[in-house]
Amino acid sequence: MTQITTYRQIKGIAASPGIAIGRAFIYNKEVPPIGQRRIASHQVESEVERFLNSLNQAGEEIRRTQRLVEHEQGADLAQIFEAQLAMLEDPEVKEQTLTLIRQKNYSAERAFSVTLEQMKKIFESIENEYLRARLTDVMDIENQVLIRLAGGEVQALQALRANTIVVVHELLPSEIALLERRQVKGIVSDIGGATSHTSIIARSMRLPTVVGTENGSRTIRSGEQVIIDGNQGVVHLRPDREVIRRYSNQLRRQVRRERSLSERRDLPAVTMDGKEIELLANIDLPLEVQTAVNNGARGVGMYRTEFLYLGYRLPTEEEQLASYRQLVEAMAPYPSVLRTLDLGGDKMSNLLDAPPEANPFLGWRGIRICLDTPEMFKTQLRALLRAGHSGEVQILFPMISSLDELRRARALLEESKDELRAAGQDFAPDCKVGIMVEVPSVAILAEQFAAEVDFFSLGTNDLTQYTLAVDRGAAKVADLYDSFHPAVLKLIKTVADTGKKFDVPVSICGEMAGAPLATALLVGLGLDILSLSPGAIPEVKEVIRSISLVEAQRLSAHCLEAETGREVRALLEDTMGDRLADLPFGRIWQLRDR
Amino acid sequence: MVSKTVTVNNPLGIHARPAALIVQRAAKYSSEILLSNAEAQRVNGKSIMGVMMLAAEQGAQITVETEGADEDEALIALVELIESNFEDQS
Repeated sequence: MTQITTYRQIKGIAASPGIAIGRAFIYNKEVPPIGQRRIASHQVESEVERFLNSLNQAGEEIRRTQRLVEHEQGADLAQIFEAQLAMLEDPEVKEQTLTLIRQKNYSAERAFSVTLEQMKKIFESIENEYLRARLTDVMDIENQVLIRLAGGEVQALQALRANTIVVVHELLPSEIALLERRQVKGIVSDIGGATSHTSIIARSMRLPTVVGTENGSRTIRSGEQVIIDGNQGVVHLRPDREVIRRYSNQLRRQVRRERSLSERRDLPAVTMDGKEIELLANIDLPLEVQTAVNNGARGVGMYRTEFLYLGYRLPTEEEQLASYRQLVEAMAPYPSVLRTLDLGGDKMSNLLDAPPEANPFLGWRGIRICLDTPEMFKTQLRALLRAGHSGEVQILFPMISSLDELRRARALLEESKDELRAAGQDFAPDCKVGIMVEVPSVAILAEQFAAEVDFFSLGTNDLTQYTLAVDRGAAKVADLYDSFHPAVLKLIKTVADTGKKFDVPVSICGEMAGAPLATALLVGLGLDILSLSPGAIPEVKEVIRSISLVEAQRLSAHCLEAETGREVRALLEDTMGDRLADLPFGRIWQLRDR
Repeated sequence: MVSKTVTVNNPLGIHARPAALIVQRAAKYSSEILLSNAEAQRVNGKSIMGVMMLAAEQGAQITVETEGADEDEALIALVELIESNFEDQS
């Protein structure tokens, strides 16, 4: 078979905009097949040595990753590697593998894999679902060792050379965290959609990314020149001179634009007629805090605390406190809004005993789980209150649908304060308390809620889903999911007006807040606090600086009279299109999975 | 040989993280360390796979047996670890 060496294009999905030019690095996690042949007797001791060496190498790699994760994401997530290390060093596993090599003349690969196979069988029969889930760790260490035995030097993601384009079958969010940002210029992955977690993080890190290339990782070879066009969703492999010239020009313009955006990061987000808009950051993972600070966020509008609950056990009060305090101190003097645990829906922790549900988005999630597990909830509330002693913390309750729930959550908050007082701990007794507006009932009864909260935060992703009865993860109805639907806009307007009337601040933290196409509309509807993905802050600020409040109000009044979401989009495109054309992230709202 | 039976108190039982703590602690002693559950399943206390296979949930009774030069110290250390709900190490 002749090797193709000419220029070609690979089409995928545009997941994070921008141009990147570099050399491909294939990050291969596939495990080579295991041969069944027996080794000669004189090879036994060298086989044993080969096995022990690869165990050591794999162990070093896990330790390195552990340190990196600890540095980037805190000690909680790093702990998950300890069980893996202990498995790697398990004396029983080692003994049995060595026995198979020495007595049955198995190759190291086969001996190790047969040993683990028996372990896996026993694990599968364990009735404790939680322990059974550790099978993935067993498989993970098996792969780590087998890849090394195959002679495949598994190149660590963090040891990459400059100007690297990482090409991978599937990149996990935790692996993105390991990318050395100075070296990696972009990502190509076979799997994934524009709204997958990995794509969201790539955007927030402003790394040009194309996903869904299907077999890109098998087509592209390490070392080949690659251009990623994250605006069009195209990968150019072995580009010819003409293609390189065209993209080098685009890249130069992009660098200039990025530089001018970052030079403008300290400019206020203020409309041409002097209306100041507060831009806050939504934070998913602690590593995004730095991007938020760099992009000029005036605080954190929504900090998701779910990541703390993905480990092997529930986080303790002290562990949570350390994590929250780090955030609060990094953002000082600006305030941080921390949302209490919002599990359920599409993300459930292994740590909770949750029965399968037919409609998880309408089931046990958010505050409903917390009110049913008061001890777990109060542990978090105490940590939040204590973090408030180091800087301004505001507490945000998710998924509230009735006043009863708000009152019960508040009662637990008071209990938490009493417990802290009794223990003699320092905490912030006057912490502000707000609720997410993501269930239509809350928007409709906003006046009643306004009397009992310090602030509202509009979660337009769920508000859209619940108002339009469209599951946002369901492909067949994806076209019906539209945050520009006039019904959604009316609910936003109701909440914004109620906030003004009762002097309760209203912010918006849904994905819509980070969409430059929506900015003028939201400002016109009366929202003066936008909380968005840290990567989108520079563009949204540019839009704000290019409009006047009067113009935005006129535009939003038109949009409220529209009959369909499509009409609203067309109105916005007509009015704002020119002003968005020059912004690299300006079209981000159009990112769709299909 | 010395032994003692303890009750697992932490809500999630001996899952991966406590199991890692047990084997890390056990590795510090030269004595042989065996753990067994009420079903008389008996495993090497220095092997995380073994300890996890006990699938000890909250309320389970675990018998720790140690035998060797430092058997007393080893027994005390492991019993303390389990009875403290693994908290002191986290």
